[in-house]
Amino acid sequence: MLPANNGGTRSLRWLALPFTTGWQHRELIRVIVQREFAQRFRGAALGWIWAVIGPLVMLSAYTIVFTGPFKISASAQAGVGHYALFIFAALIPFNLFNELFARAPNLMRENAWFLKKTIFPSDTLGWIALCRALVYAGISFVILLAFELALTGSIPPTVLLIPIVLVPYCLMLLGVVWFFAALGSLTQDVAHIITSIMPLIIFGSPVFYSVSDVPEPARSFAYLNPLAGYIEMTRDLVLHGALPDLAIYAGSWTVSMLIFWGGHAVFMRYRSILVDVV
Amino acid sequence: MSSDLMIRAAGVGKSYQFYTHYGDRFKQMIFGRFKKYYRDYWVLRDISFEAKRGESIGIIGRNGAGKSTLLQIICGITAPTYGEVEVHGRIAPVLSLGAGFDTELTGRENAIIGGVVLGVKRADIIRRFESIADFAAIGQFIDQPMKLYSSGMFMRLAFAICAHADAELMVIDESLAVGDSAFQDKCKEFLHKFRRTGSILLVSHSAAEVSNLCDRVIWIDRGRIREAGKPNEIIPKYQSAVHEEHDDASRFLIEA
Repeated sequence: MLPANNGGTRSLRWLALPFTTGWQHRELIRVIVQREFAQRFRGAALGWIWAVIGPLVMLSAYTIVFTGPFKISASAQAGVGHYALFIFAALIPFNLFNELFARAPNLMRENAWFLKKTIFPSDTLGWIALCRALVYAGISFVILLAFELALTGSIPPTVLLIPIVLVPYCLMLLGVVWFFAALGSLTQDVAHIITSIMPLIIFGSPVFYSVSDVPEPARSFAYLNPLAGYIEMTRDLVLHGALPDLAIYAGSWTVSMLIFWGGHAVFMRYRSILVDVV
Repeated sequence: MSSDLMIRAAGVGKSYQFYTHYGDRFKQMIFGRFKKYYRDYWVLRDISFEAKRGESIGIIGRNGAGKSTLLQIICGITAPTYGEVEVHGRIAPVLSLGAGFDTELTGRENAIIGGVVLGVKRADIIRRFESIADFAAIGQFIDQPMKLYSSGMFMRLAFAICAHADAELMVIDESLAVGDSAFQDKCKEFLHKFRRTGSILLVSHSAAEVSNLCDRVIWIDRGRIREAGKPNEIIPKYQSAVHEEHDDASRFLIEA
């Protein structure tokens, strides 16, 4: 640490803070994520199989509806390959957001017994929620790749680049979780608002359509929704074998980091009073 | 020497905000600078004390006096409304019942989580597990879900985990009373050994326990320190005061 550059190191430390606290408590995050899974599948005879069956049933249903005897929306299929894969590739990042966004307002309340009884670093709850959701997303992702291989006969090599999209996406989601966890502890209305607007978000995001299908005046605004960029980039890498658009990629990183740091700052600002509130 | 200082509390106060309507809390956040939407309940006011490394302090006082809140503030679980708290060293809190256990999980699983929460490495906890189980002495129950435990078993496990956390400060909140006398003796034996190197902060209603384990006693009355000093001076005063006071609701008054 150079004394001459004190302001610089301080702001660097502030920027690194959400990462360092997460890293510091990595063992804690690990044992609690393990606990959540142990708990979820305890008492279920088939255990982990249930985590696989959910996405498997969903993707099978999409495949049958869109490529089977029904042949719905043949026009929608033109140019997008398999419509079922097209939707499912978007649903994985969308559901990741959905699960975390819906859960965030109750995060502190769900863990209140823990926060009040032990010396618990509450910001790790965000990392824990993210890790948990990522496990389910990972299962869905493997199923998606298996279906892609079965239906099209190949998987584009760009799939290996998925971490370059996943990392900024996860950071953005963490920021969202922290922000709404803080807000949701203060008023229960937030949880209700989120439940009501969730259907709007799915139609406002390019899940059932592609941004390029949107007519022009609206298309320019489609990427104002940060989810749109991530959904399209996922499709590019997983289905189209194309690299993400550089402008969208850079924009997504920028927005994600702002949300990440902003969410963390809000959470830390109110953290000490949240324990008394929930 | 400042390195000998374990705890320093300087003018600590804590108020809880009581809202009539749930939504008022949100209004307070937005319009707080113009209008006050809550009533204060001062749990603690102007608490100052210091504890040196190796010094053990007992906290006595009636129900609702603020003892547990003070412990929570010292552990960093809740923040003081004003004032400062410094703690130098690793804390192991044996706070009331529960201690953050997940009742769906077994004692073994909770011991691992509990140990990691206290800052012990997962591998170390697993290595020490036999010793933890020995200390708790709850036999086969260690591998049963904790919802099947009695309150005594809960406390046994909680204490056993804290005893294996390499703590420098043990914070104990009335939990010893739950154990049977055999376990209490084991805990006291442990605490006597622990005192040679670490500090203890003990809340208890048992005069014998406090005078036995503590070098100093702080008597908290309605959120303020009423008296502090040697156990054999303070405890009799406290006991006669409690004897004289009426046991009515006036001590739980919420200010407008």
